Amino acid sequence: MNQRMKLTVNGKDRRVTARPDAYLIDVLRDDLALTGTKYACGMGECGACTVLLDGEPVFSCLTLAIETQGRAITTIEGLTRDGVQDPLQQAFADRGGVQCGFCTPGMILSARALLDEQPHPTEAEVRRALSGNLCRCTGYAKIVESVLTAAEE
Amino acid sequence: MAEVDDAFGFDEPIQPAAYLGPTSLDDALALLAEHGDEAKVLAGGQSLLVFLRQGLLAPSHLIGLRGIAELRRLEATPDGGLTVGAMVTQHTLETSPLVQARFPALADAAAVIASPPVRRQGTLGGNLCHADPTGDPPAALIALGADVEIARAGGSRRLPVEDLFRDYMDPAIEADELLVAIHVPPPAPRSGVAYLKYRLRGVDTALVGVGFGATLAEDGATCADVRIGLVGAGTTPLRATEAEAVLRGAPLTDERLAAAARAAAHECAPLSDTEASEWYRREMVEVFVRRAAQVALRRIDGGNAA
Repeated sequence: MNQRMKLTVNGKDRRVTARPDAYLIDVLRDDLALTGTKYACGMGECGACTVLLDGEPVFSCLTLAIETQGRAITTIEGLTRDGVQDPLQQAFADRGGVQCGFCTPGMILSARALLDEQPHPTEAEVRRALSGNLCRCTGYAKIVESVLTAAEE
Repeated sequence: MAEVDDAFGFDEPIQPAAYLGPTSLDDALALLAEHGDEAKVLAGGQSLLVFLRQGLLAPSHLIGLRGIAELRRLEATPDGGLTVGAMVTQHTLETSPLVQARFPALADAAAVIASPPVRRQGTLGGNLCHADPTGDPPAALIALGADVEIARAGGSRRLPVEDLFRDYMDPAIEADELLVAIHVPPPAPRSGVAYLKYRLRGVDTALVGVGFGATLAEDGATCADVRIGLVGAGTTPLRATEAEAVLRGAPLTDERLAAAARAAAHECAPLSDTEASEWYRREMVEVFVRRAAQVALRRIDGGNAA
């Protein structure tokens, strides 16, 4: 009883055939090979699977793929355009906002959503926006600094 | 509803649930009448999809409500109350100027749920139907005197929020019924309502949460009415009626509020778990009833300062 779905991922229409109750993260990673989105807790606690849905940060482990049809999905792969990185990606690299890297895609997408709504956030606003994204390396200072650096540019 | 016996060690893959996406309330109620016993209603999915992923539930159908525009209404009623469609998200509630200005306790409760991505998808109706005893909105809604509207094909009924919870994660909603809206009455003159949450980490559920709503008599000192909602204080969210009785008709002095807080700590029945013991939760109920009362009373003068 698999079902055909049409998802709009990083600006492109992608057709997949999946279980009707397939989770977005599994379709992104397993069917579309977009493995930048990370799977960790699977229960909305850690934020590693964060993607943007019509610009809003959501957990792809708590989202059914079938319900994202007709909406714009942005994954970390979608932030690099024509080989040019998003300022946030560059800032994370420049400022040491990346340690092991597993939380980084989710962190950057939550930060992207924040900067799209609030281009010049305070540190408190950055911390609040990233509160659903855990870093197990516990290097939050550099992550916050990276977001604030990207916001200045 | 098929229960999976061995949630983490099943041998056979669970049958996929069929997805139904009604686009009107009537269609959703018809689907519930047909499939209700074996189906689960999918609102924002921030609780249900965890249970499905863990194999704790195996519904035949998922009835997704995202396509039903009328469930996303958020509007003031002509008498100054508020109607919240079941599918209004926590993010919408916490950022709504109307809710912030007129019902700050509800905005405050929405703003402290989990994390921003959960609040983007999680809905008020879904939160109530999940009936988690540590959810935040029930305490605020009890203090606000809110009702829920529950529909089935051919009719609907209303229930005070405090009567919605039968037992742990067991809302008083039948298989063919759907919680469609939350109705908050207009704030009374000389009234103030607050919700305070106590937790250890920012994204945690409440160790305890207290909603406190008070209305002063015309003398500006006597408690004309009071409503206290507690979460994290039992197997369900609950209304602290004994604590309310200590205050109703009495002057709202510090001593009287302290006595009411002790009554609330006494009448509730917290669970002990890995987060906190029953004893500790009672202590915190007492502290947070006092603190929530202070915030609510400050709001009576019209200010929203916490």
